[in-house]
Parts: sequence; C-alpha cells; structure tokens
Amino acid sequence: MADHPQPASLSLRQQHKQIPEMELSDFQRLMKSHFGVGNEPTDREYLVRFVGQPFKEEAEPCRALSVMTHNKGTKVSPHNIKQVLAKFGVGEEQFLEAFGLMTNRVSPIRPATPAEIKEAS
Amino acid sequence: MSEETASKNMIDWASQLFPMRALAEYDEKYGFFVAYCLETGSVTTGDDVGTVLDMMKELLEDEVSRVMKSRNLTNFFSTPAPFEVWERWEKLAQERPSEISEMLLDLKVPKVSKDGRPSSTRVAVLKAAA
Repeated sequence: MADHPQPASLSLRQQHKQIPEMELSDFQRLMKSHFGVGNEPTDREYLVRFVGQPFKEEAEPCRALSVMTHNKGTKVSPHNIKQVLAKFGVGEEQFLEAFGLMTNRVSPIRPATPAEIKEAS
Repeated sequence: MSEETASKNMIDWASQLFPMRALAEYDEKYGFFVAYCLETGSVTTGDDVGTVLDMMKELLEDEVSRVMKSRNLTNFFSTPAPFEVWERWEKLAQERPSEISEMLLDLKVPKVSKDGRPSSTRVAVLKAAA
C-alpha cells in the first residue's frame, strides 16, 4: 500500500480526460443530480430541452438550450455536452469528476490539493 | 392592437434580428461532421455534412421560435461558438466568399411582413468539409 494514496477524485479525473459520448438518460441524470439542470421533452423525440434555474425561460437569468441527440435519440455527442456545460457554466473538469463518480459509483475520499492537481496535469 | 397583430409584428421584427451564420466541418479528432452556429453556439453532429446542416436548421428553428416567445435574448446569445470557430469562418469566408449559401428557417408562426415580402430568418452557411 502506498504511503500517500491518491485521492479518489483525482484518480477519477485521470481516467476521463476528455468529454465522452454519453447515453442521453445518463447525461440527463448527471446534469440534474450534480448541477441542478433539468430537462423537458419537446415535440420531437430526438430534441431535448435543458433548462436551468429558475426554470422559467421568460426570466432573464434563466439559461436553456435545445440539444439534438443522435442514434435515434439515445446518445449525446461530446460536442453537445460541451455546449450544455458552457451554457450552464459547468467546467469540464467539474463535469468529468461528476461523470467519474457516476460511472464508478464511489465518493471522493478527500479533495485533491492544488499541488496534486498540478502534478497530475 | 390585437394579440394576433402584435404577435405578427413581433415575428416581423424578430426575423430581422437574427442574422446567423453556421459553419460545417469534419472533426478529425472524433471522426464525424460538426456544424456550429456562430452566434448561438448551437452544435449538431452527424455522419455527413448534409445531415449536420439539416439538423442545425431544425435546431435553430426551435431555438428562434422559443426566444420569440420567451423574449430572453440574454439566454439566446449567452454562449456563442468558441472564438476559433469564428476565426475559421472568417478565413473561409475571405477565401471562398462565393461558397457562402443561405438557409431559411421555417418558424412555427405565420410570417408575412407588412409589405408582402416573405419574412423568414436567414442563416449564412459555409462548408469547410470536402
């Protein structure tokens, strides 16, 4: 066993260095549970509307966008994911960490220190 | 002014408000085609250039129809495409101005302007991909 085990959050980030293609349902769940971004169906099954707080599009602070899925409405491309993250002000690293937590179903033991992050990058 | 007239005037006005541009290109890193709307940052991906532009048309029709209802321009223009996409558009537009085509958006509302001209939102399109 190493004297200085790597923090879980850092090791997860190293596993997913680039935004992946995702199942739409996983992406919707992740955005909702980690970042509070909701979604609603549209009149087309392959088009999804993501809506942030206060969930009223007429309100100026509200951010919302439609996303074209592919593979018959089941997948979201990395480019679309990046657009959603930009719209809702979620950093890619933040997202990758949440993605890692979701796919590995573990909780971080402790947050990585700035020195560890620098060393890993 | 009736609600119908007010709505029609709003459409006339809004249709002139969104002079948008779309760039379609092949993404070698991912191995598929991508289209970006410069002004809204909207993105579509697909296996061929025609598909990504068809998808972009449909996506922008949805977005423009929604912003005309919500009037939330702050949201609509909050995240334009990355600066590199604007640079690539500018370079291509200067090199191949004759290749800029036009895509008309069909909005979900009746659109005939006061002087009888068809009122629709136009998107200038460039294809970087072969």
